[in-house]
Amino acid sequence: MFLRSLLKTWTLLLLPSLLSHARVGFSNMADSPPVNPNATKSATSTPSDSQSQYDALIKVLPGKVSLPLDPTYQSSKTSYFSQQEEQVSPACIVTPKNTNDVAAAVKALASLYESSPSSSQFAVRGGGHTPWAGSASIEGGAVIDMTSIRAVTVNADQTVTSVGGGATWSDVYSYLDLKNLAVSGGRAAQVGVAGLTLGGDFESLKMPLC
Amino acid sequence: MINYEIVLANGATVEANKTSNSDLWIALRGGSNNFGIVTRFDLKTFEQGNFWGGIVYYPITTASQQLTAFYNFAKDPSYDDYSALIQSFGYSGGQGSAAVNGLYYTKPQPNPPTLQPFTTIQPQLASTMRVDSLLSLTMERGATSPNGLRSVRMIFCGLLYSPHKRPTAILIFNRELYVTTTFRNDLSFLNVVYETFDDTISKIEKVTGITWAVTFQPIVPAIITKSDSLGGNSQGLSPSEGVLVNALLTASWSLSSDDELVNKVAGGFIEKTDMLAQEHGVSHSFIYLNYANKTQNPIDGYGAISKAKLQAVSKKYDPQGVFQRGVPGGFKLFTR
Repeated sequence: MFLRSLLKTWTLLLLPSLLSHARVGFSNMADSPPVNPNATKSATSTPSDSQSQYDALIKVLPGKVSLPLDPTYQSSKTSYFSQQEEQVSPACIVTPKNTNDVAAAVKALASLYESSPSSSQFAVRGGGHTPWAGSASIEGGAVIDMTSIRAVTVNADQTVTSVGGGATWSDVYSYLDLKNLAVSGGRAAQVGVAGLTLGGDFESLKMPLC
Repeated sequence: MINYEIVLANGATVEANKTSNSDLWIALRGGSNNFGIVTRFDLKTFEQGNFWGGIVYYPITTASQQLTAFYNFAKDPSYDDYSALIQSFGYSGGQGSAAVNGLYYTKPQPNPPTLQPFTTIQPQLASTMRVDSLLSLTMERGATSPNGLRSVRMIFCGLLYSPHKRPTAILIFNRELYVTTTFRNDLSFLNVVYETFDDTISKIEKVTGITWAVTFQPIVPAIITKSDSLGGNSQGLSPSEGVLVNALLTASWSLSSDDELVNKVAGGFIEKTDMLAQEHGVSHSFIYLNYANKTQNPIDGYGAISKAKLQAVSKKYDPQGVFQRGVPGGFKLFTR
């Protein structure tokens, strides 16, 4: 968490060692499926049996449910903080664009869960910064990826900032900074608002309220 | 946090605030993903211009001075709540060890008295302290966690770019671990914890790509008091408990073949710290949820009363337990 700042300062010195030690997969979405040396399953080109149970979900949210070979799925899967979480392979990833979408997804997945509890659990993903595998993803299940819901607005008298559930603190601060405003929030910009807040953060920059 | 807009298990969207669904409003602070999906946060907003902050790096030989300054800063009854401190000691494979302080004072006032005990520690390897924007200071802080490798990936993209293809991602992920504990602020015990951490370095120093650090942050009564005045929390923390110290062990490494060793040494450090805390009479059950490893139990760490309240809220707003057994990720209220 801290010595990466040394990395930032001496990036050129470190590049060779990072290249030799890191797992590097070169992904080009325009051509072939990504090569991921960590993959434990091979992706299939058609929805598998385990994915067909999501037909009802796909019907309710057309264009917002992606499968393993889709770019949206890959982009979401590879945007977690830790390698462990990135290695989890969900059956599908839902990308709601607004609250109604989230409600539709929850309703569909809750009823799916209730009808077959052992095979259709789901996960919710915000910033994706929690390190351990399965915290915000789920092997063979559905992930609701909240990161499209990240709008930030402030009210007319600038006393309340409204933040979409999938936003990061950088979304919040880049908007508020221009107005010389702030909220009490995370100190690491790429961390999600949801996880930090709902986890009961004690470590935000506590700016005394006026 | 003034209000949450939250989607519940039955698909209904409700608001949770001081006057509406207030039990849910309190439960959400610390209750994590146990009640639904929050689709909007409404946060109290105030004026804030640029302020003073940054990161100072020192040789590891300053450790004892650092801990003394930390202890005094944390215990100060007239804690200046414009100030914030994040103190780390760490080891990076091939680079050695350092002490690092993140220092923040949310006014454009350089080097205020409350933080001088840290800025005056010598020698220093480097310092980024300056008056700057909230965005810039938090981007800098964010870059210190390995997810900040994204900024390095941009450089990699430039080096490996091939004109006839459009590289969209270079996947470099380290394996990551967070594990945490909390104890009462005590100078001799802080030194004990530091020594315990120091002893672990020889066990992991050969791990490929390792970065290994312990981070201390104060949890002062003033923070809890403020939270209480704004409606409270579900975490079982009370200002009457005195000053607490949150300790976080972070590990970042390259190869899954080292998982077992890293987990064992990290877990062992926390276990030993907890055991020693008992012996020194400074133990505390609080486990900060966002730093907890999968094997830890932050809900239990909130105490029986808080846990019971959270369970009651779950039964009221999610009677089928969709966010308990349908969403198994995170830290659950019933299944442990």
